[in-house]
Amino acid sequence: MPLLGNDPARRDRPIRTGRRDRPIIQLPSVALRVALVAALAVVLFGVVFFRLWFLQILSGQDFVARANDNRLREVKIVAPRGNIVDRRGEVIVENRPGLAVGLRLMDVPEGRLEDEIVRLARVLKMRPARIRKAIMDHLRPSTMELGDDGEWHSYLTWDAVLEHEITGLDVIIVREDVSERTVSYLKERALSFPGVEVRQNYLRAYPHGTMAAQLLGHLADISAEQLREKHFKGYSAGDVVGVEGLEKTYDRWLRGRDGVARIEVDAFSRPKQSDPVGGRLPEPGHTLVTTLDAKVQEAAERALRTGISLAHRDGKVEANGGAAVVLDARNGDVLAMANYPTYDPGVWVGGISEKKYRRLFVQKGNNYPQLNRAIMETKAVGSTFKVVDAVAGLEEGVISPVEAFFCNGSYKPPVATDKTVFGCWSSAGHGSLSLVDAITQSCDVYFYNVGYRFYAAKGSPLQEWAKRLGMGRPTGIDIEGEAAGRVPTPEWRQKYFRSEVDKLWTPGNSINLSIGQGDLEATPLQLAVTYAAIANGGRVVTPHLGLRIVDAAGQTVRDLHPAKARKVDIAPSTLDLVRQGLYKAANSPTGTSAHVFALYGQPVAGKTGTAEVYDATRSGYVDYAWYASYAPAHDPRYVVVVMIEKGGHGGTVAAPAARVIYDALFHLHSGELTTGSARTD
Amino acid sequence: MPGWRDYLRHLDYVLLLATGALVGYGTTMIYFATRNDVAGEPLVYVRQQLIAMSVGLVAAVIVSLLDYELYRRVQWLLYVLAVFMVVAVLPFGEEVNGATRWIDLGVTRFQPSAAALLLLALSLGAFLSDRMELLGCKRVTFFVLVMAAVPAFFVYREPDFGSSMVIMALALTMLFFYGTPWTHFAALAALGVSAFVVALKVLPLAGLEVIKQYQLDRLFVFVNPGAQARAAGYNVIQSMIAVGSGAFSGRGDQATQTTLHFLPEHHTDFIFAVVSERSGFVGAAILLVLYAVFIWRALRIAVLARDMYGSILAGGVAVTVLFEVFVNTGMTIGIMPVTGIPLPFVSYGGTHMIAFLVFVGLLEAIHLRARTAPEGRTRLGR
Repeated sequence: MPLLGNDPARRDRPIRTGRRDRPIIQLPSVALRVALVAALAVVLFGVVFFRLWFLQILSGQDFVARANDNRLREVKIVAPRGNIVDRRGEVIVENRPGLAVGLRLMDVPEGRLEDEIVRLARVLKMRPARIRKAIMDHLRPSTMELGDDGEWHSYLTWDAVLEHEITGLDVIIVREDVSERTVSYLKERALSFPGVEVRQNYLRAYPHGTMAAQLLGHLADISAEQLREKHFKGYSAGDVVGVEGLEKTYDRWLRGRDGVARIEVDAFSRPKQSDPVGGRLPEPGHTLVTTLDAKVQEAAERALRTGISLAHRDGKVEANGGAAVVLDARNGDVLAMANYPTYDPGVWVGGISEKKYRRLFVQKGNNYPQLNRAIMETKAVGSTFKVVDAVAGLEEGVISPVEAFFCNGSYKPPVATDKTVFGCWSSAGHGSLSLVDAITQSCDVYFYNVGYRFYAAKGSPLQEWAKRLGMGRPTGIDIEGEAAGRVPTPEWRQKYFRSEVDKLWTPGNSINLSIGQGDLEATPLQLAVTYAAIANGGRVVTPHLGLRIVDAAGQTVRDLHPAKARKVDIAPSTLDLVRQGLYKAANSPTGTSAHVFALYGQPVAGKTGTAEVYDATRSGYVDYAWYASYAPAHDPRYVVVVMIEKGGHGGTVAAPAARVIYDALFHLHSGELTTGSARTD
Repeated sequence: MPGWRDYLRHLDYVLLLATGALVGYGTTMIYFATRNDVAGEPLVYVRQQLIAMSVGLVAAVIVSLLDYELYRRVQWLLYVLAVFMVVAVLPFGEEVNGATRWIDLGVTRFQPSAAALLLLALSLGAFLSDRMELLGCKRVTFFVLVMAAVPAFFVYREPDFGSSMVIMALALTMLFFYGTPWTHFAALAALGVSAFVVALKVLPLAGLEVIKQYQLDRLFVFVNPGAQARAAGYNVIQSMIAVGSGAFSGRGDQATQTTLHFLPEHHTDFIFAVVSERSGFVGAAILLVLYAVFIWRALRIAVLARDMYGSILAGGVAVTVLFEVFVNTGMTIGIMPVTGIPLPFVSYGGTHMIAFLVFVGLLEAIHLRARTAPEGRTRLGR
């Protein structure tokens, strides 16, 4: 058979048809079939061209963007958070560099993750479950896909992480604030901890220790609930945010702006080159200048300790809590807000374990040091409320300045539902007293009379005045968690109580209210605002802790103007009388706190209070000691309110504590008050 | 007897140019797709491909010189060889990614399914052209389908669904050019549809699951690749991103989908996505036009052929290329299932390259014989 050329023998054999006339039939037309195939080819090529046109010409730019999404990873560079300083620039909260241990899943060999987590947890002295949780929490946001039900679901499972199906380039921080020793231990054994990396980051530090712990708040990873809050609008999962206190309120200023490093990676998330392709440098957070004065704040906290030890000395061994507020009477600047007991806010740094949290904050024995009693605890305010009676009485014309009531040690209302007799704190009685003397000596019977007159009056004018002067609603301070307190009215009683008897507003209710008892409840801050209004001529200020925002160069970025003070019309004569009473209470020989302030270096005006508060654990009433005051009496600048839980008498415990604060305010050194004090309320 | 002069004069140069352009284009693209795959060895895949091309070129020249009448005489030997190869790969083959598709020959790897395609084309074409007098008989159609189905079944078991589909498509094409009546195709279509319905709807109701759900999902993932973004849909999505981001004129060296490995199998099954990303719509269109030219020339040769064997062979080659090109490009642009069918002359893969170059040699042989036949075209009936 020739290689080149045609085989002459090769012919398609004839096709037998059995028909003589046409022994050979026409073969089917190859040309027709070729034409059909060609047509099919045209259609198929057309489809491919059309599709290419759609993908490349019409949607090309979208796909370029998606290709860039594929190859560019953004790694967050956390911005250092701003400091919180007092009004003089004294640092209250700052950053310190810390060491964090993290895990880069990419670098953990397949099948070794579980074992490595257990060993790492042992070194870091934490539970493996917490490391697992950190990893899962970190990966979850990036593993969301749209389900058939139109909702976003995460396809993240622990098994997928273990099997290296889901992995990542980022270093997932599993433990912050790790000691130098632990870090060097890990570094020495780097080979047996593949993927473990140490990062330098910033941690909160508190140079003043426990000072102002309840006001500051702390930092935590933003939670799913917080992401939905209006306050955190625009934040994203994985952000570290301020929780509670000033850290939360001023988070937007403090946090700065995180930087971004854009890194080109391949399909296995391995960086292609070490230099970022682009990105943005982090902008450090601004400094928050607060209205606090560290010296005053420290004094206020010391004052509480003093007050409590005085109470203990006085036999009130149960006294174990308290709060003090120092306001600038003119504008509502909070110079100090102290709470007892307190704690070291450093416990939050690097995350607090469930166990430690419970031991510190939930266990009853510690008396809840996290509680910002100054704005969260509402209690009866006792005799300090009498200034409200006085203002309301004079303004409503219920009493006159010269009208006197006789006190024989007890009071029985002219019309009463029962036979209750209301006693004065001085069972011997005060004799005949007009308003100023009644305030000075804190005569209960005088104010019982006033209270009864208000009971007879139309409406609830006394309650209206209490509310007007700042009670019964939050003051609007710029940290969250503030309690509204309560000013009891007949309407409130109707709503609050179930039984028909309790729903009724009785003369006794008005009489109790007049001495700040019964159902009246206010926070120390509210009381401070009320006294500030008396001191400044009727302006109800909005207390605030934020003063201004300052950038790194010290330039003011923004003045934090609080809401404008609300002006309450009080006749000057009324204010004058009340102030006289308060001054004499602290200075005249018969005054309830004169033993503390009569010979003091600055004229102080103040009212003691001894509030009977129901204590469920004892099924009885215990005395809460109050002192509400301002100074200098003739040109009031500072308002000081002190409350000592279960501390006994205001004059014995709270007023001396207040003097510790005034010492700091006026740079005085009056020494500790040790003399046995008068048994007044 | 025609000499070298005739040989050179009657070659189909358009076909040769189209093939050369496709092979050159493909090799360039394999270079760009793989130059970063093995550090320090940018040419490792290109070298392999060039060796295969050299072997293929020599084989093609030889095939073009031989009268294809030769294969008719050894058709059964070729058929048995084809079946033997696809059977032998199952016990002796090398398992890669769960599939046994290659036999390791020491120096290189050999893909029996690609070689079997060539042998089956030769033997089935011969079988059919020997039976022109039985045209219209059902048993011819049946027998050819069974002959194709046997190797196709073993290829399917490798598993290599794509290659078995190509074999069946080749058999149907050859029946088509043989002249099988339309009624047979209609009956086959009806049979296919009803078998599909039975396997998918009726048998599951009877508690017998022939096709598992995940297999179906994988087959139809191209309809909605986003639904399985991580699993079966991943390749399709990444491929479409690569193709789409090429836009009009391509991304050139900025073709990150390929170079950063987002696109899997970028030098084999998804080479068209590499072309589209690098060279854009323009580059993809040029490639498709080259294929169109190739198919045109092959079909032209089918018409010109000296005899029915030549027509059936040429037609078979034309449609096989059309089928592979459409299914392969369709898969990278999300309009066809991901089946692992390579792009002829372009995808990396030695056996496939050699087989298709031999197809070109065969087309040239048919062309040559048609031009130099003593009585010109001698097909029966003229």
